Amino acid sequence: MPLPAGLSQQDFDGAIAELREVVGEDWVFTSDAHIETYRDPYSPLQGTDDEPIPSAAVAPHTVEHVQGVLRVANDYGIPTWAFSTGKNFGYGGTETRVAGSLIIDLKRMNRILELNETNATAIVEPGVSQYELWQEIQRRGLRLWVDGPSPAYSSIVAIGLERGVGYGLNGDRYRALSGLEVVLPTGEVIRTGMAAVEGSGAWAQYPYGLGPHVQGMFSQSNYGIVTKVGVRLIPHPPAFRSSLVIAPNNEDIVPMIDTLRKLRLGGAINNAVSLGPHVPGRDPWAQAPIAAPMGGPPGAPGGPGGPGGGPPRLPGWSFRLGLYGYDRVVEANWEEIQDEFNAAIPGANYETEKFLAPYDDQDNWESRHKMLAGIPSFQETPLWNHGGAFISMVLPFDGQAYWEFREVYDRVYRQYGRRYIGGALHNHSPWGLIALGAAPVVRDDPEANARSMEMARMLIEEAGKLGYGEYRAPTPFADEAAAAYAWNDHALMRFFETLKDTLDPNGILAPGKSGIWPSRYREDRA
Amino acid sequence: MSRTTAIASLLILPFAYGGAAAQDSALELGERIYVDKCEYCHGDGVQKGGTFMLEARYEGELPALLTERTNLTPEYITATLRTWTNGMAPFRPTEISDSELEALVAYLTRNNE
Ligand SMILES: Cc1cc2nc3c(=O)[nH]c(=O)nc-3n(C[C@H](O)[C@H](O)[C@H](O)COP(=O)(O)OP(=O)(O)OC[C@H]3O[C@@H](n4cnc5c(N)ncnc54)[C@H](O)[C@@H]3O)c2cc1C
Ligand code: HEC
Repeated sequence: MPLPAGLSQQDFDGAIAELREVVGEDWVFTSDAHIETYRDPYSPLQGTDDEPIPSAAVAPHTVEHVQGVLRVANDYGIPTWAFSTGKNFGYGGTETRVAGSLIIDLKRMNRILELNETNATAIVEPGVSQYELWQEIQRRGLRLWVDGPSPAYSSIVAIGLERGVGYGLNGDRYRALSGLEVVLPTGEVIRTGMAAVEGSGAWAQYPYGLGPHVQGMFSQSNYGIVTKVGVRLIPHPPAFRSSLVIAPNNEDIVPMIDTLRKLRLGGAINNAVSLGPHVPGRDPWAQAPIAAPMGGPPGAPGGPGGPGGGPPRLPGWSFRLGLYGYDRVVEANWEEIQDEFNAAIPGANYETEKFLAPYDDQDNWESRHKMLAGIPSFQETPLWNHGGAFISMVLPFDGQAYWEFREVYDRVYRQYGRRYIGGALHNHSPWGLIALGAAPVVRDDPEANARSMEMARMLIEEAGKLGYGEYRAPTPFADEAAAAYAWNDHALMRFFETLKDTLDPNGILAPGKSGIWPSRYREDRA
Repeated sequence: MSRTTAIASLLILPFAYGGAAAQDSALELGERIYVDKCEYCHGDGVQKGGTFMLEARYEGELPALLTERTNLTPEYITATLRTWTNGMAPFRPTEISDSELEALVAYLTRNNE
């Protein structure tokens, strides 16, 4: 395994010995077999000389351990990168930017410190996955739902910090966080929001506290390691209706988006809806065919990675919406919603199912209903038999804007022998759309992956010309993603760098995360 | 009760096994880990992705349920869990330690000829 740049074997061995003193013999990993588990199988860099393979991994169990690990890293100048559950596939997995980095694996910090049914809140450590929180809720028999991204082994903390998306009422995962505990790169520990009040009585209830609202500084950043968060959960509604809206034709996406915006802004639809090409018989999160819907190898149906050459398949579109609340209100809303789509889209059709509290059978619901409620499910993740890097752009919630964007993406895809039919379209809020694309990654084919990387860069560049930037950057493309945010000669990046140099003077925490490089690396790169 | 506060070390966590491991036979430990960390994908029931994928791959030639297999070797199980196999992400030593992996192997090979 590569050593951190500038470190002798002797110094490295010294650092490893000190790390073992901090966390215990068993929790520092250096063997090839263990390090292999920290390589990102989705990485377009896999198997190339540019793949930044880590030197070691360390697994703290307490805040004091995290402080101790950072002390060693500062003393020796070792680059580190912290992961909560390390499942960020499609956006970097556990890949770092610098070869020889020390991985800080927080999975062992997995305590649920508070679980409050009345207020629908929890306080958790970073190793707690959605699924584990759900298991604990079940074990205690609480009437709560969680919400989160489709990979159920993802961390409540990390998915919030990465500003990822779920599918229910708390789909905007960053907004579900309230109050952080953070170990700064120098080892100092702070708490934000109400968590900063001694003996905080409202940690998870109100994120802002007093003074500047700094919680956001620790999202998608390299300014600290988050060790606790307050998180908002969802109380069971009296009624829950799960519906699929299908538009038969490809062009229907324009009125579908515009009608959805009206209903989202007007408050009729409140969950984080995700739209996608409708492959008949393939309802999102129903039992899917093995060929994946997006980014798949040439030949995969109905997605942006679909067949190169030949006429593209142009499916219609569909999305799932959830209605939550009093039964009569849910039913009235559902009527109005169908009227709106019927008026906008000839031939619109629906599949729908209603559930009434108490939800005794919820564990046996199909994934499509679970995802909307906020019950973690492992249905989609295992069906992905390939990798890819998501290039996901923030657009206005506007049908015509999406139509034009799609043509631009498709033009780039065609240059690389593929088609962009349209990927998943997420909406954290009624104001913005996140349009997903994916640069496919093929295992053991560095040449194909190099072309894919070229395609990814061109997607970023072309979307930039439309005034769009990514909502979240796959680690290997972080510099390109950050470069799009260039207003006033990259003033924002200079501000990020000022903060970085102040908070992390030795530049040891996640150098290059979100394109933010500490000064010592900026000098090397200049 | 307006507030429920508890420090819960989840039962499914590696360190929770420490004490129990001594008394438990490897088989029992292996089964317990299997139920906690494998069944949600490899169990029998609605939409279990692991079972679904293995069903599709073997088309009845081998059982889709890992617990019914008699031909899984220790080397194969270990390699499968520590490296990427299509739909299953590798398990890190913080998720399944080397000794837990041994117990899992004992459990999944218990019916081998
Ligand atoms: C099939 C498929 C479906 C997907 N579906 C979704 C989806 O529905 N929604 C979605 O949002 N994403 C989705 N993704 C993307 C991604 O895989 C998930 O978001 C993933 O679960 C996140 O992994 P994680 O929680 O383990 O984060 P981690 O890998 O633990 O962390 C990700 C990053 O966050 C930062 N970080 C993590 N923990 C800390 C900490 N404690 N302190 C400071 N910084 C930290 C680090 O920079 C790290 O690199 C999908 C991917 C695939 C392949
Ligand atoms: C996230 C879902 C998921 C989890 C959790 C999971 N698996 Fe798997 N597993 C899969 C999938 C999907 C496959 C099939 C992969 C493929 O097609 O290559 C698989 C394949 C396997 C295989 C190979 C079988 C064969 O015939 O090749 C073994 C062995 C295995 N899993 C063991 C385990 C064990 C042990 C655990 C628990 C520690 C576990 N899995 C947890 C999804 C999962």
